[in-house]
Amino acid sequence: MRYKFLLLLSGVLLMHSSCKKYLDVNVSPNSPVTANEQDLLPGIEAETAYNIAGGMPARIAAMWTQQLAYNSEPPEWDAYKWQPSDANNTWSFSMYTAILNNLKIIREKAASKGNNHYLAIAEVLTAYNLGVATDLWGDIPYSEAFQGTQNLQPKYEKQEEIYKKIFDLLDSAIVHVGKSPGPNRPSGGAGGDLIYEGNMDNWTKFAYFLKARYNLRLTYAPGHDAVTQANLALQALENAFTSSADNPRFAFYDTPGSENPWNQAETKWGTFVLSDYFVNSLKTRNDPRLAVYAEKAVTTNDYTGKVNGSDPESPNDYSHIGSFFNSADAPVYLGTYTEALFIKAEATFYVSGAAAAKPIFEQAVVESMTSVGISQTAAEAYFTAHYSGFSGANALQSIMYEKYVANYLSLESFNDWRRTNIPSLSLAENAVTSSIPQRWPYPSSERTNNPQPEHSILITENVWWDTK
Amino acid sequence: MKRILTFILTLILSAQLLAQNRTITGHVTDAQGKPVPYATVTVKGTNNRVSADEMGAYSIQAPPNATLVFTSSGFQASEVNIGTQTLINASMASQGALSEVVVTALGVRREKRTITYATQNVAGEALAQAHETNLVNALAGKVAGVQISNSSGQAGSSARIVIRGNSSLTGNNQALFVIDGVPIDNTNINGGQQDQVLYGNNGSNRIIDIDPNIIESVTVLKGAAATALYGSLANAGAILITTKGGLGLRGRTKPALTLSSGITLEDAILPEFQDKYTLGVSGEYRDGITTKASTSWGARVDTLRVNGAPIQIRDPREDFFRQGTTYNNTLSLDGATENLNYTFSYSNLFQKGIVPTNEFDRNTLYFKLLSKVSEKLNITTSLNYTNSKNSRAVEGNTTNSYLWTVWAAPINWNMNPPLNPDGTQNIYRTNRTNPIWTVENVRTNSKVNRFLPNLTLSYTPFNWLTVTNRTGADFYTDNKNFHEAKGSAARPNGRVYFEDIKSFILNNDLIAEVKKSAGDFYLSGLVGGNIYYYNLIDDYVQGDGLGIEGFYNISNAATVTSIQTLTNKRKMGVYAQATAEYKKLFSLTATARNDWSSAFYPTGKSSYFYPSISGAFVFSELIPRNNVVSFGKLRLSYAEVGNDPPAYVTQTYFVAPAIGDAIRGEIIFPYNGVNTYTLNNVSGNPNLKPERFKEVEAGLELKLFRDKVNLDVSVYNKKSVDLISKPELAGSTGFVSAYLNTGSIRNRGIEATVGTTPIKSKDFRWDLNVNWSKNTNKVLELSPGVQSIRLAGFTDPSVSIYKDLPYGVIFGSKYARDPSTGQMLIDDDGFPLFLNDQGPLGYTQPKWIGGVVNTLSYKGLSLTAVVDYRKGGDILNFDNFYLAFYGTPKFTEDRERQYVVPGVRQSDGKPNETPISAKDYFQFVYSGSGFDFLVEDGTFFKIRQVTLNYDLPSKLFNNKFIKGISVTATGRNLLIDAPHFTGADPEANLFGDDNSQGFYHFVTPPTKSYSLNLKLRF
Repeated sequence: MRYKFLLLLSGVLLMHSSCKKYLDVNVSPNSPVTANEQDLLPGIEAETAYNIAGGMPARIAAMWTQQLAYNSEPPEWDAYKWQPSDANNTWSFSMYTAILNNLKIIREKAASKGNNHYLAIAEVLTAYNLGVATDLWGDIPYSEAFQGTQNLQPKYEKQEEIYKKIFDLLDSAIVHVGKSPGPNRPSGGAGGDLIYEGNMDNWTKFAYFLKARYNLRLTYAPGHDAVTQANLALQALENAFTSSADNPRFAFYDTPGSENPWNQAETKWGTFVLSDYFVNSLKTRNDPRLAVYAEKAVTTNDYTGKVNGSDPESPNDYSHIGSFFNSADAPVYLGTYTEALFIKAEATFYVSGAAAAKPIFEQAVVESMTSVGISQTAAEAYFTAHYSGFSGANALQSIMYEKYVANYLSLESFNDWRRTNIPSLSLAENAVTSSIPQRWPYPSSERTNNPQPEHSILITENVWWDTK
Repeated sequence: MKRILTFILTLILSAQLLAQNRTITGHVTDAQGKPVPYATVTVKGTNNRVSADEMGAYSIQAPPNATLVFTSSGFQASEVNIGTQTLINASMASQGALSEVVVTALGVRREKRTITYATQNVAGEALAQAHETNLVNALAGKVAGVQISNSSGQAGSSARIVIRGNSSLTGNNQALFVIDGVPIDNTNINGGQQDQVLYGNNGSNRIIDIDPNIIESVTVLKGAAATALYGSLANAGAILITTKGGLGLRGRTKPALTLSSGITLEDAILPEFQDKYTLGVSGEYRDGITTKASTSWGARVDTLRVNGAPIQIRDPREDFFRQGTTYNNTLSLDGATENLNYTFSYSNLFQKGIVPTNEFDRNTLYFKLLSKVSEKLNITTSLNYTNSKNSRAVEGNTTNSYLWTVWAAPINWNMNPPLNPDGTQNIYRTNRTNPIWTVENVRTNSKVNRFLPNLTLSYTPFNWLTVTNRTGADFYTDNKNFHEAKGSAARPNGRVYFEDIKSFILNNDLIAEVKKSAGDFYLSGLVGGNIYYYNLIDDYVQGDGLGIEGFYNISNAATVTSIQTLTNKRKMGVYAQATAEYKKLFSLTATARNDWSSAFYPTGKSSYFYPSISGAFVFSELIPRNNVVSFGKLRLSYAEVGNDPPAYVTQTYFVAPAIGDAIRGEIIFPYNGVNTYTLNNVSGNPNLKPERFKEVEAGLELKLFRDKVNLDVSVYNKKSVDLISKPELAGSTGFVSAYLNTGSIRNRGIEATVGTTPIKSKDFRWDLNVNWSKNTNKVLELSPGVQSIRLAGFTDPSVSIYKDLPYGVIFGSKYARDPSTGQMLIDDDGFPLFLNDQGPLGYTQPKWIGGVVNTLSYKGLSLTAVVDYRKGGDILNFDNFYLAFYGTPKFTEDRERQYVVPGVRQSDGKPNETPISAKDYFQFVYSGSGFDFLVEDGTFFKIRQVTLNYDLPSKLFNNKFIKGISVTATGRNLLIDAPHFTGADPEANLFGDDNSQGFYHFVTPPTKSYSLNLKLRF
C-alpha cells in the first residue's frame, strides 16, 4: 500500500515537472532580450539621418521656407496642410522610440560599464535630436518620458528647460570623450558608428559645433542677450569643425534600401520639386549654386520652380532637386563646416560689427559654393558682385540670406527663418493657415493618449526662442 | 431418415431460395419527398438489415409478404408490407424535436430537447449548393447571430465569421472551426510582413482549404455556455463540422459512386462611373498620351472636337475585368460492410477570377473509415488533404494597386496594349503603371499543402462508460512568393520575397463519458484532458533591386534581407461536465475547465479556471396535449471562458528596426554589411492576466401548430474583461504601444429563428426560415492613459477602438462642427471649417442583420432562395477620397452646377447658402481635410443565392447502373442593393477577415455568378 502510494506520488511529481517543462517555452527564439551599444547605434544613426536630417522635418522645412514645392493636388504640405496625424510618425516612430529611447538605453548601459566613448556619442546624438524635437514642437516631454507602462502620461517641459538639458548633455559628452573609452569602444562597421567610425575627435568637434548652433539659436530668446549668446557660440566654434572633412555625415549607397532619402522620395514619390520663389531668387542673382541645387525642367529646358500651393502640373514642367543632393549615394549631413562659418559670421557681427564679420562671411559663402563643387573663382566673383556694399545696415540680411541658400534642404533654414524672419516669405497659395506655420502640431498619439495643456497651441504660434 | 433429412433440407433451402429470390429496391424519402440518407431497412423479425445510401436508395433481399421496417434518426419508424412488389418507396414522417440529436462541444452528441443553450444546424447540402469557394461565405444569411463578411472579389479571398459580436479587442473574434471533434486553424497569415494598407497582400483564412462537399452537417454553437468545454480557443463561438460517413455504423451498404460536375460563370459587380467628361483639368481635354493628368475633370465629351472630330470613349472597367469561370468536379465513393463505413472523395475546384491572372486551384482528397473492431471498440480514422494554389493581384493603398488606375481611369484612354511600342508604360498619368501590366507583373502567389488527420478510439467497456481518445493534427505549409517587376511604380528596381510558412497543430482529447438512468433521473457526465501544441515557422526572405528582368529568384536581387519567425505555444487543460435530467422536464448542466498556457511563462501565473452552469425547462411537458404548443422549452445559462495572451509578449525584445518614411522610402539592414537592433516599440508586459468572457444567456424554443412553426429566441449579455491588447501609447512613453490587460467590452443581443411550413401537401411544400439578430456592443473601459486602440488603416483615418463607443470606430480628421447641433461649421466662402479635429466618423457594427431561406419543392424539384439584409454598419469608402478628386465616379458627373455644403455659417450661425463650384466641392470638400463625406451607411439587401435543384425521378432512368441524377442551377449575388453606398460591395474590406472591418479601399469588387451542376450517383 505504502509502495503504491509512493509510486503515485512520484508519478504526480514527475507529471508536474514535465508539465512545467512542456509549458516553459515562452522566450522568443526570434529576438534577443539584450543588445550592446554597437548593436543599437547603427539603427539610431540611420534613423537620425534618414528620418530626421533627411526625413520629414527637412522636407517640411524646405517647403515651408519655399526652397521646395509639392507637386500634388493642393492643399498639400507646402500649403501647410500638416496635421497632428502627419506629425505622428516623426514623434512616435522615430524621435521618442527608435532614437531617444534607444539612446537612453545606450547611455545607461555605457554609463554602468564605463564605456565612456559610447556614452559620449549617445549624449551628442541625444542633444542633436532633442534640439530638433524642441525646435519643431516647443515644449516637449523629457524627464518623465521613456518610462513605458510605468508612466503612460508624461508631463511636458518648457523649451527653456529642454535647452538647458541639451547644453548639459553636450558638456557631459565633452567630458566623457576625455575619459578612457572603457572595455567597449566604438569604431566603424560592426563597431556601430556609421557617422565617424569611432573618431572621437570628430565627435568632440560635433559637440562643440552643436553648442555653437544652439547658443546662437537663443540670440533673441526671452532673458537672453544676442552678444552673450554670440560670444558663447564663438567660444564653442574654436573647438568645432575646421574643414568640411569634419562634417558629421551619414553615407548612403546606390543599393536598394540604402539610398539617400531625397533620392527615394524622388524615385518612389516624385512630388518634390523646386519652389518658384527659390529658383527666381537664385536666378535673379546669377547664383552658380542653382545649377547644383536643381535640374532643368524637361519641358522648359530651364530652371523652373513651382509656386508653393499651386495646382499640380506634369513633373516634367518643373525643376527637380539636383543630383548632388539627390543621387542615391549622396550623404546626409547633421551639420556642416559651412554652417559653422555662417554661425561665426553672424556671431562676429553681433560681437564685433560688420567689418569684422565680412571676411568670415565671405569665407562662409565661398565654402558653401566650393563644398558643392563650384570653383573658388566663381564663388569669389559671386561674392564680389553682391556684397561689395556689405555694411552694418545690410549685414544680418545678407548673412542670413546666404545661410538660407547655403543650408539648402537642411532643417536649419526653417530654424533661422523663424529666428530672424530672413528671407521674407509670402504665404503659399491655397494655404490652410492664415500665416506660415511656426512649429509642428503635437502628434495625434499624444493628443489622444496623453492630453496636455500644450496641445492647444496653434501651429502659427511662435516657439519660446522665436521672439521675432 | 437420411432421405427425410434431405427432403427437409431441400425444403428449407428452396424456401430460402424462394425468399431470397426477390431483390427489393426503392427510395426512402421524407414527407417532402427528399431522400432520407442512410436510413436503416430491416426485414421484420430477422437480422437482415441494410442501410440506404446518401440518396435514400436501398436494395435488400426479402421473401414475399415480408414487412420492411424503415428507421432513421429523427424520423418515426415506418413499416411496409411488400406483398409481391419489388419496388418499395417508403415515406417517413419526421419526429420533430423529440429525438433530434445535435453535436455539442468535444463532439458529444446530445438530444436537442435537453440542450441548455442556443445551437443551430445547417445541412451540408445547403452549403455545397451555395457554390462559394470559401466555406465561410456559404454560411451567409443562414444562421441567426452570425455575421459573415466576404472581403474581396478576387478568387481565394478571405471571409470573416463573427458570432454575437466582437468580444475581444485585438485578439481573435472569429468562431472556432472544429472538424469531427478536432479544432482546426482558420488564421489568415498575410504575406510580406507588411502593413496591409500600404502593401495589400491579403491572403485567405485557411478554412478555404475545406471542400464544402465533404460536409454532412454544421452545428453552430453561439454562446459561452455551449463552448465552455473548448476553452480559450472557442471564446468567440464554434462551428462544428461533421463530415460525411461518420454518424455511426450503418450496416452493409453497396458501394456507391457519386460524380458531381459544375461550372460557374461570374462577372464583376461594378460601382457607377461618369461617362461624360474626359481626362483633364479645369475642363481642358488631355489625351493621356502626350498630355497626361490624374483627373477626369476634362472636357465634355459631347461637345469636344479634337482635330475637328469627336473622340472615341470607352469603358475602362469593361476593358479590364474578364468573366470569371469556376470548374468544380467531385468524385466520391462510399459504402459500408457490417463493421466498417468507408467514404472517399476527391474534388477539384479551379477558379479563374475576374481580375486577369487571379486564380485559385484547390484539390482535396478526403477519406474516412469508421470501424467496429469489437463490440466495445470503435475506431474512426480520417484524413483530409488539400493542395491549393492562389495567385493574386495587389490591392490597397499602394501604387501597385491595380484598382488605382482602373477606378480612376478616364473614359478616353485605351489601356491596351499595356506597354507602348517603345517599352514605356501605356498610362494616362504619371507615377503609376498600366493596370494590366501591374496585375501581370506584380503578383502574390501562395501554394498550400495541408493535412488534417484524425484518429479517434472509442472504447465502451460497460454500457454506462465510454472512453474516447481523439488525436487530431493540422499541418500545413504555405509557400508564398511575391514579385514586383522592375519598372513598378512603387519600387522601380523591383522586389521579390519568398515566405515559407509551416504550421503544425496537435490536439489531443482524452474523455471518459458516463451515463446512468436512475428512476426519473438520467445522469451523464464526462471528465477529460486536453493537450494542445502549436508550432509556426515563418521563414521570410526578401530581395530588392532585381538584375535580370523577369527572373524572380532571390539570387537575382541586389539586397537580401530575411526574417525568421518561430512561434511555439502550448496548452494543457482538464475539464468536466455533469448533466442531470429529470423526467424530460428539467435538464441541468455544469462544466468546469482549467487551462495552463505557455504564454504566461516565464514569470506569470499560467493557470486559469472557468465554470459554467446552464439549465433547461421543457414546460410543454406540463401542459396537456393541444394543437397550439407541441413543444416548449426555456433555457438559462451562465458561463465563463478564459483566454491567454499571444506567445512572447511577457518581455520586451530587441528587434530589427523598420526604418521608413511612411511614404515609400526605407532603409534596410544589414546596411552596408552592418546589422542593427532596436528596442521593440511594442512593450511587453510580465504581469498579464488571462482575458475573461462572461456570458448570461436565456432562450425560448417553441414548436407550434403541430410542429408547423418552430421558434427559437435567445437573448444574451456577454461581458469580456481584462482584455489583452496592445493599445497605442503616447510616443513620449518611449513606445508606440504596449501589451496590457486593457479593457472590457459588452455585447448584448437578441437572436431569433422562425421556421415555418406554410404549405404542405403530398407533392408540394413551402418552407420558410427566417433568422434575425441584433447585437449592441460597447467598449466599457480601457486602461487609464489609453484612449484608443488602432485596429488598422492609416494613422488618419483608421478603424479603431474607443472607450464608450462600439467596437470598430472609423476615426479620423473631421470638419469642425457646432457642438450643440452637430452641424458642420461653414466659412463665409462656403467651405467647411477644418480645425485639426479628430473624432469618430462612423460605426462599423450593423444595427441588425437578418436572413431568409425560402424553399419551394414539388416532387423532385426544389427552389431555394437565400436573401439577407444588414441594417446599418458604416463604411469608410476611402476610394472616394481619391475618386471624388479624380472625378470618375457617377456622383461627380453632375458638375456644371454649384453645390452648397450643408451646415451653418460660423460667422452668424445661419444655414450656409454660399454655393461653391462642383470642382471645389468634390476636390476640396468631399475629398478634403475632413473625412466626413467618405463615411457611408453600409445597409444592404442581397439576394445571395437562388438554387433550382431537380432530382430526376428514378423511373426516368430505372436501371441498375445509375441510381440518381440531380441537376442544380445556382445564381449567386443576383442582387446587391446598398442604397447609401457608392462602392461596389459594402461587405468588401481591405483588411480581409481581420478585426478591422469597414475599410473599403481599392479592393476587388464582388461578383455575380451563375452555376450549373450535374450530380450522378452510380
